[in-house]
Amino acid sequence: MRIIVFSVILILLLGIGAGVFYFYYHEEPVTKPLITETKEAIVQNYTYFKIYYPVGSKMEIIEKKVPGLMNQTKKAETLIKEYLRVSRELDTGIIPPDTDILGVYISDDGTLYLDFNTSLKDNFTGDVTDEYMLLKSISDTMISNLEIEDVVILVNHKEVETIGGHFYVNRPIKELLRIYTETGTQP
Amino acid sequence: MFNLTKKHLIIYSAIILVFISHITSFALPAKYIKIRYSKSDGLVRIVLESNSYNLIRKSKVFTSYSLVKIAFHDYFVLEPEEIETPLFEFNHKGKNLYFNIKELKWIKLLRLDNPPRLVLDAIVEGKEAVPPKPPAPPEGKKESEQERKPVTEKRTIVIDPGHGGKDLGIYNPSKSEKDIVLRIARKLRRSLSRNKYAKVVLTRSYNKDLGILKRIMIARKANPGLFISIHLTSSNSVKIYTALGRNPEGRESYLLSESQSKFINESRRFAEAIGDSLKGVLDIEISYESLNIPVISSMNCPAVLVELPGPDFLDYNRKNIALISKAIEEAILTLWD
Repeated sequence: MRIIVFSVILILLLGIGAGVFYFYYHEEPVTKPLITETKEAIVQNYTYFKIYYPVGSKMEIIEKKVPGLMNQTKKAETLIKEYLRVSRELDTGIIPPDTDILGVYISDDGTLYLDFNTSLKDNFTGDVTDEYMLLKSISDTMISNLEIEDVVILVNHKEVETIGGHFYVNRPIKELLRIYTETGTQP
Repeated sequence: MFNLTKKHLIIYSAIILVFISHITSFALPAKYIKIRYSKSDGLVRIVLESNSYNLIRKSKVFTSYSLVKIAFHDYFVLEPEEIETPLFEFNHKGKNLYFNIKELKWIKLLRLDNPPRLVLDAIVEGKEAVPPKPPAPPEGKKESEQERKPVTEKRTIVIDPGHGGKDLGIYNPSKSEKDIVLRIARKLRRSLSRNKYAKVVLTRSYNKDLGILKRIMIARKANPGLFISIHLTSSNSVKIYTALGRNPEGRESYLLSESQSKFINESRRFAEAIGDSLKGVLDIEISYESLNIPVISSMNCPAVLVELPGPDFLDYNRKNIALISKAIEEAILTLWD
């Protein structure tokens, strides 16, 4: 009888402990499905995209399904267009008006070049956080969906120093974002 | 049904209570504040050291005659709860600490890191105040960069008005960031130039295109003692940025200066001085962020990037520009005192 009582108490305590840890340390993923599963999705081939977009200073994700299977370049082109469309639909405020994509290229070393029209730079109006979130959302969206190493932003076929006057973009942006947010080992 | 005796029930209840208290204390590590103090001629220094960076960073200090109230955002354990000294009395109530400092004239505040601590320098009636040495860092940690040098020679400050030329920054139909920050920078230059020890350099003094790298080159050429880049935010708040430290590669590059890591604490102190000073003129939320923004990370001196409220939230008329400029000037002079 004592063993049963001890076992019951032990299970109770473990339950309390697990509950406490769950509530303090568990974070729900922020993924929000935008489109629900349909009958067509089961029989038709779809390409699934995760699109990152900023809400304040946090990043959230929307899942999108686009009909058809694609090669990497076509996928990149469709993805960046979906990214621009979703950003406008959700009114994230970071994509400048009239921004469009002129071309998409993937180099042999796995760098994705996104060539935007001049509206990206000329119409950008935002502060440090806005510019950082713009770069991060583009980088996260592209790298999480494509088999690429990094992303380079071009404006009207050319490299530019900056989009909004706070951060460089004349290097691959995943690498730049790492430098902007990480600190090395202190001496 | 388990046929438990009273003795068993007491033992089991005690075991449950001990377990619950252990789990709770593990999940919520207690924040503490340790008080220490010292006195030199005309000055009482009270140091509140904590294990929580946020507890110190988010604290607010209010004064009224000899009473000083420090409001923290969270509960904490005070060590020790009582100190017997003729210099001051204190009470700990909830999230607040109250000090009654005898013959208090005014206080100076300093928030320092490693470990997080709030330093209250209470200037008291009596002899001329002689500032003591800065509070000693914990053993084994150098803090040479936090020692202040007396002002005996001209010091250079570089003011960087953001954007310019075709780059408007944040704008509304009537005002743009590039013009507002230029006006503030010019006003600040005029005010600071009256100080015989201050040499002021602007990265741009008129409306022109200026890239990030060119700004950095102008600033570094001036060999400044302080660097401030002025921008606007798209919200109704003030954000003050400092760099994070060394770049991940741990080497000097055109993007980040290795030497900024030596000035991280001073840059944060500079940021806090500006934040405290702006708080006095703008009744607005002030937040502090750390990010390796190239223009500040590339500086070989204490460097901050200040974002003031956007033009939709604050009327940048002559009076407000003068107030903001004065507040930043006071923060700079406080840091140089």
